[in-house]
Amino acid sequence: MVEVIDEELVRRVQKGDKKAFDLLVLKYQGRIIQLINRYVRDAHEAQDIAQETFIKAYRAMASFRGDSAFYTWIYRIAINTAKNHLASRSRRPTDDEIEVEVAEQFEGESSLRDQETPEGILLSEELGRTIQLALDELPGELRTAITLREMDGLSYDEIADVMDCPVGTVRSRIFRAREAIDKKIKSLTG
Amino acid sequence: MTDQEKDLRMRMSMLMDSDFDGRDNHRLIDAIESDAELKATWARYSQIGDVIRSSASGQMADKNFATKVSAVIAQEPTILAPKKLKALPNKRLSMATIGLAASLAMVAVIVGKSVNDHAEVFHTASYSQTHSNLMAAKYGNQVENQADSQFNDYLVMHNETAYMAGSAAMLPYVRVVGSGPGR
Repeated sequence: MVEVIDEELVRRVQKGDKKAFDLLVLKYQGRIIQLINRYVRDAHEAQDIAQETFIKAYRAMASFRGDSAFYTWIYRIAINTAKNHLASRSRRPTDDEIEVEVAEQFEGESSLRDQETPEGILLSEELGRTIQLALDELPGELRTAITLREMDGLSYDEIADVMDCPVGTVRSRIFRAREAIDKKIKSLTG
Repeated sequence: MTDQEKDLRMRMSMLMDSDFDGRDNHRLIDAIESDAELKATWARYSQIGDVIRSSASGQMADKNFATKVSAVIAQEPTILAPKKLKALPNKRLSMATIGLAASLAMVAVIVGKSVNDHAEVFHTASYSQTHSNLMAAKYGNQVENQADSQFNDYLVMHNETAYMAGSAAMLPYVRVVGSGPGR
């Protein structure tokens, strides 16, 4: 499914709207960290590399033409940044896939270090468990609707076909599911 | 939560899934960017999706992750990207394709015309030679010399222009076949 909202946010960033980039970070931070965790086991390192990834992406945003989806693009930057990180740590030569131009632009990673706390990581793990639990407690129709959307990536029209209900009902079910889960996690995120 | 807040959050939920209802989504995005509560909800909705996709607790972003990135971005120069050029390569490609097709068509016309011209000359020359043989039998050397002259003209012209049709390798054969009785 085409992420039209991402295209709109990218357009805004390219017009000088930095706040639009905040929304992209908030949307993709979890996925990028999970991706980096496949390369780096240490949670602190993963967060550092993810931050580096987003800053690189911002700096390269002017050259992003939308030939691929924003997520695919930042996914690539994240992988290259993680590989770069591993290569520099083990003092091995860098991988030839690494985007040197992008990597050279990044200079400020040290300022981001030493800000993570074990408590923060524990909290994020608890957040994950709470969301999973809240999802399990949802009424069947709400759970099916949000799972078809988030896990299977179906559009609202496709979900309406699958669940044999109007699109308006799908909108409502997904919203209600999100609200129900959000209620449970709001206190955790404070 | 007021009805208006609820409506805003529902529209945001739809916006996240790229499901637009035709209303002014630009204003909605402006509202999300500037309203801290909506922004926090945007982040939590995204986290919900992340957990559902990973089917496990997984590693979530630190609570202040986005704030820290935002602080660094705030120090960065503002991006003013050049105008989008995405469509340009395709346009160039199609122009090149049209140009190539036009060139090939022109070559085909020239070559075809050249071949036709040769065929016509050859046909005329063959006819002339046959005709001149008949006339020679009837009128003697005078007519024969005239026919020889015409046939020579044809061979010279053919020799000069045959390469245009890519048939240079045929020339010796043409010369042998086209030679007159006295050659």
